[in-house]
Amino acid sequence: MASVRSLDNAFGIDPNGYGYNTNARKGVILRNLVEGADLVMSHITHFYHLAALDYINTDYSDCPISGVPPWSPKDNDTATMVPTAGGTTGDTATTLILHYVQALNIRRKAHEMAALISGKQPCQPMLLPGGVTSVVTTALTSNFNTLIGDPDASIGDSWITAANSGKNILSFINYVYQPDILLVAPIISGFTKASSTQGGSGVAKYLAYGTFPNHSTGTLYISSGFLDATSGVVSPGWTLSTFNQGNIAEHIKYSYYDEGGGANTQLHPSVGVTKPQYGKSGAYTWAKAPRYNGNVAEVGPLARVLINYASAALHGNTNVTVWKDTVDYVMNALGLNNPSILANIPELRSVLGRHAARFIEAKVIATAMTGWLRDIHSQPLTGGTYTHTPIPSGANNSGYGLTEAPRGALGHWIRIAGRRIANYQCVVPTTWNVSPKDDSGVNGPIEKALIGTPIDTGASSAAINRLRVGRIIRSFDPCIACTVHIVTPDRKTIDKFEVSPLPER
Amino acid sequence: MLSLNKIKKNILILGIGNLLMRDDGIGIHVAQRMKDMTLPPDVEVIDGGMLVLEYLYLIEGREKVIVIDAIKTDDSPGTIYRYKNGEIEKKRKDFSLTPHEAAFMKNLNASYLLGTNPEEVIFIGIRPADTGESDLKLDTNLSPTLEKKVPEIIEMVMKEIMMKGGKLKGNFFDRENRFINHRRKEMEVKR
Repeated sequence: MASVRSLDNAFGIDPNGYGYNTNARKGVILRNLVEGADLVMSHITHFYHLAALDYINTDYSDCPISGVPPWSPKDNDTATMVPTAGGTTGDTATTLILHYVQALNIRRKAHEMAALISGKQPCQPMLLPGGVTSVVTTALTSNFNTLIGDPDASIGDSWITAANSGKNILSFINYVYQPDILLVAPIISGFTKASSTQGGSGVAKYLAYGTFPNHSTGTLYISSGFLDATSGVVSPGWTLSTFNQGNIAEHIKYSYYDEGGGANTQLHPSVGVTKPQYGKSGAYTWAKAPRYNGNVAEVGPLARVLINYASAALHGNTNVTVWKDTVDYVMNALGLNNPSILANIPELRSVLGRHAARFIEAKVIATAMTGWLRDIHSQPLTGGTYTHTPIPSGANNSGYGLTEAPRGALGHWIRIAGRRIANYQCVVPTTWNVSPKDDSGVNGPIEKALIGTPIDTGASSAAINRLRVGRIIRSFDPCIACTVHIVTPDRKTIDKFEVSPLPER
Repeated sequence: MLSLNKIKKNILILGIGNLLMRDDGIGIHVAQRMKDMTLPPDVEVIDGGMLVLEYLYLIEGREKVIVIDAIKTDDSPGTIYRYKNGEIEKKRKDFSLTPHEAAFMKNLNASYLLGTNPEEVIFIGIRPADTGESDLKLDTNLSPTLEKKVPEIIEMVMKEIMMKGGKLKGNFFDRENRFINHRRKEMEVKR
């Protein structure tokens, strides 16, 4: 999405949609539906298939799925849920395990939903500058409705029910994902609140580029902004400022890149230089350190939820009411409403906050998607889903494409010279979150979240609790393993991040 | 809605890995070359790239899945391993930090939970010689060591296609035809 938007931008098509001609507005909606389906898929996958495993231990002989990987964390941890003997239905851990299996099918439905439009998920091939190659058919919207659970006007709300939670996305989100988030929260809350001493809070500065442009107004459904939430009080204390991509710069003092005597660091991505220099003195990572106006910033669902919440709470922005309502619902359900929700919002700057934000966003966006689907029908039935814009001949163009990937703010910057790509730089969400120290020595969000986390909780080696580290890092949903996947039959630990061990032979 | 299961073929050859990281892409190279070969009608070849949980849906309900991937061992580069069901999906207790860990194994385990697991899984692993660490450059070509091994790997996969549960399947003519087709195509490629 960021890539095609960078071309939109370079070719003079307004990336926010309102510059499209009337016919191509459908293309904007279709892009939003695919991006939305991908976001929902990703959040469900993260909670059930990547994160929940850190909290459940089935390594007991009387557990019905004992011996079934992957639920068997090695370290002792009091916040690990163990299913009761025999795996009683209703027992928290057993419930989560059953939902893990159910979620495998639901995430598939989310993929299928997007693939109706994109042709293939992930890595959709339907995007092109100016819109999409897909066309809208009644079969498409009908099948999409079935998968997301959007009720026909004549049927009413009967599609979104507990009984349908294995059948459509909205039922699953409302009747499975929602209760599960609330179920897990109290068990791990001692560890997850921002006010706890267990770490995980982070830098409390948040950045979002925003996405989901309205097809006729260009207003972003997920707002952009930079939120300084370092104060323990929302109002007065937190400040939300307007986002401007010109304020981004990447520092590389502590990264394995050639600084070129200082010329290559703190550059805007449009003129960014990526020249590897492995083993550079003082450097310790391949990640650069992106900064916004010199500020470190966390990106992702928590950033987006807090920015949209702050937009409503601080500036009375009514476009984001749905965000505030959903946040308020979760805060009430978690009992974080005394003396007021607003007073407790800072508690969301935490591991719990990141998981809760993922749920909040999945619910808000899946619900919004049903409206977008209806919007398609208000567009002219004839006409295409893209605006044809020829590549400007011989021109030296540059452009940028911004979006919100499930993991956070994503930007691509392109420079075209002589009809060829002269420079292309990506600043991806995980780069913001795993950022090393910047040129002034300020730690990145995950680094900051880990500093002070107690690992050695007692005298014996059995008390070493590495799970906390994993839980904190994983709450950011980092994408750090897309490098080499290698199977290791003899179960040796090779490297902490790039490759990993497998079962014994 | 269109059900993918209706058009799924019984046997899946699944190459996985990262094509940009040289020998880590061995599975992809093998899959891409096998896509150009004449294969029996019940065989499908998929370049599986680097997915997270999507292999689950690709392997679902297949009679046999043959996975080709790089494998980390202490043996010499180019060593080829063959594992079958039960040898690869053993219980693991290790704590791991990476969410993408053991991508394919996680899928296989999930398929058992869903009851959609293939009847037979053969894992062909190859010890890489170079995954790009040496010069830190992305490269879609295999190292000479592994390039030389590709015909041998394809031969192994072809044998697997003809086997079911460790025994040759089908009648003599089926097997001969498969073998002849494979050879004929190979000759065409060489020419």
